[in-house]
Amino acid sequence: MRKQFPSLKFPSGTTSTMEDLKIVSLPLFALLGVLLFVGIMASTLFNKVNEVRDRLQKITIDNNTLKQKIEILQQKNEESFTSDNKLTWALPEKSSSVYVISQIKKKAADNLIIISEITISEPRIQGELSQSTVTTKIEGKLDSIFAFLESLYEVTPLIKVNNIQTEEEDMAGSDLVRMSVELTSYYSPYPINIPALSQPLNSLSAQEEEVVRDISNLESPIIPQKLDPQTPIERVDPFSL
Amino acid sequence: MPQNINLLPQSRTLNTQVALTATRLTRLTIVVFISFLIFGGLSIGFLFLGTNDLQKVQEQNDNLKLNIKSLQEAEQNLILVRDRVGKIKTIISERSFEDKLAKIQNLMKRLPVGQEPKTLEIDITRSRVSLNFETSESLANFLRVLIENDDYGQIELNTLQFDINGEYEVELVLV
Repeated sequence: MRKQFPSLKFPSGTTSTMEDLKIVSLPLFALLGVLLFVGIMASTLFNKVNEVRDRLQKITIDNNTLKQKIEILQQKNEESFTSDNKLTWALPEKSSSVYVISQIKKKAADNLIIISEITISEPRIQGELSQSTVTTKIEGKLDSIFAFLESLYEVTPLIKVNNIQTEEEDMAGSDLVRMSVELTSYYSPYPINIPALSQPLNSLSAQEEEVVRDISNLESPIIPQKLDPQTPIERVDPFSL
Repeated sequence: MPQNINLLPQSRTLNTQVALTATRLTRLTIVVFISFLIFGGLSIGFLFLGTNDLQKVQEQNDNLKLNIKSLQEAEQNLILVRDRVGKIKTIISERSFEDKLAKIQNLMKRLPVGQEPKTLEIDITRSRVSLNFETSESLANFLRVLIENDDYGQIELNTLQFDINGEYEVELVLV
């Protein structure tokens, strides 16, 4: 029988498993390390790629919106602003009562109507539109009054006739009719906010264009020319003769 | 004489299963790492190209914004126009008097020549008119024409009077 050297004697069972584990653990830890590294790096890269892709997509959409907006604005820029001015006349920023009275007087004169009284009520704010009521007493032939009332729909600022009423006692024995007419005029402050640059902008719809066309055919009030003060002139000395 | 001589103790011999697992793990590690290098390289490539594109698109975006700023007046104008048009549409939709006036004018045309209403009142909801007729025939004719006409959905005969001058006076409410 062979004798074994005492120092080379291994305890059986457990030592063998430990050695196996040692052999497997090195590639296992390496794999785990690589997986951890790959996981962190892949996640970072994935996030970066997604971020770049999202930004690219967002800016491309933004650019398309801006291009469309520029096209609309360039088209608008080439158009005349005359109709826009008419629109601001139709619905002014501040109380339009003075212009309304001017138009009422002009149309009354055109239709041979006598105005005996004009009263303006305090403006009242109703939502975004402010309203002023103008009550006027007029006298004229019935046909002329009808023509006068119709003509009020052909002027700016926009006027709404609320009611008309004859004054009964004055009608007998004359072809002239006295009437009380109640009108409403409107005004509204201009918008103060411009939408964000990247917000899409649509051009006017066909219906809106039609409104602009209708309004541009209305008669605006005549504004007196600005009267600049006269430049100083040299006065002739009356005693210099 | 035996052919395989193993001087190591039997317990130290390498377990083939363990060795195989270790080899597989090593190979797997290498495969994972190489795959990562490939995909990582592709991703970095995409990032590089994407960043270049992003830069170009961003430059284009800045230019477009500058252009829009130069068109700000037109933009303000368009917003003002849209605001006015929206409100004007509301006002126009509220104006119904013109229609009522046209109907009353139409009615007046059917009166005997030279005759005018005694009283007339038109408001948002209805029209009220008082008329004098010299004969019952002219009154009947007028009422018949009025009923045949489909301008009004509702006609109320408020009063019908016969005065001492021999005239008929009627007051109508037209809706």
